[in-house]
Amino acid sequence: MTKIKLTKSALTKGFAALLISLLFIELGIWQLHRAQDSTKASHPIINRNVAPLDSIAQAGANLSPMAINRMVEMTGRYVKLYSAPNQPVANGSSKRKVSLEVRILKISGNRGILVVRGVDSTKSQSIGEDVKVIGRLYPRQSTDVAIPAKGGLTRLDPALVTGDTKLELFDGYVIAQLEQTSYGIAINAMRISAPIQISKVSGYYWQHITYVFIWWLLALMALGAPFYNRLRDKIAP
Amino acid sequence: MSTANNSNLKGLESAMNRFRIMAIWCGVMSLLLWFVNVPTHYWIFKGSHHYFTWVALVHGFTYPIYVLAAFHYCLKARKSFNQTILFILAGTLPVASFIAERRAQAEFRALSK
Repeated sequence: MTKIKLTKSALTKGFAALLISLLFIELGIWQLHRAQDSTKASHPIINRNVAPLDSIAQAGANLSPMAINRMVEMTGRYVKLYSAPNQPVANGSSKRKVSLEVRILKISGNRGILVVRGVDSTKSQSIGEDVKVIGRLYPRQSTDVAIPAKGGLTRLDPALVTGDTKLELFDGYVIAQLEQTSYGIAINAMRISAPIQISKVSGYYWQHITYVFIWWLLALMALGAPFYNRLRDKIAP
Repeated sequence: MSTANNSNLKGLESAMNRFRIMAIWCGVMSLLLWFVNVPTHYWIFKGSHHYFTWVALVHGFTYPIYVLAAFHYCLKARKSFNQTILFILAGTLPVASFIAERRAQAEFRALSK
């Protein structure tokens, strides 16, 4: 039985291989996110019909590309309130950064969805009754735009609030364009525009997936690098 | 002794042939990627880019096969770790994989004489 000598040099090589391997894994994950982002709106759906949220998405499941950018409606009750600072919002042809008011809307079947009501105001409205929300459905954001803070969301992603609620959350979020009480009375808020989102990530889904495979293959090879000479002697003595 | 050498040489030849095929393939795909796909995406004839989107896909799917072929060849040819890295990286540059392919063939010829 061969013993592996743990010399200082071997440890350094092993540590370097591990670091490089982790870097490659991280690059693979980055490409995986880009693949995900490229599917977001590569086929922007121009459908003005408002669909019930239930009919195009499922709680606890990834949002299908066909559901992205759709106008949806749902009725429920707000249960949690958050602020999402530093969010870029279209302002004519330019973009400005604002803090957004985000709430979890609890809908039937113990499910919930993140709703962006509009620009965050210092005085948050108390909305204790059932609300009908109409808005556009967007995929979750994958990169942080703000520094973590209590009650603040660093990005619009339901994964960040799963610990705060027992509801089964829908993927993505809705930018509300209209809120009504059960009596049909509109609820005011400083609404933001909800434009159709078109992916800015260049390349195609499968192209990014191939890069994921390449980076992870290189990560595997980097992990095996300290044993290269031994493997070579075994294969070609 | 000679039987073992012949067997080793045969194994090396098979690995080299696989590497040569992949090197030529990756070289052609890299040329298309660097000189057709990328320029039409960013600089010239942007309207025609959609004709060449397959290039990046095909190159992306076949490069891992090149990496494995290069790695296996380098092990068989008893190359150093640094040389192996260079052989693997050669698949990403348009002309480098052709140079690597020529070099592998020349080394094999010298060895089999």
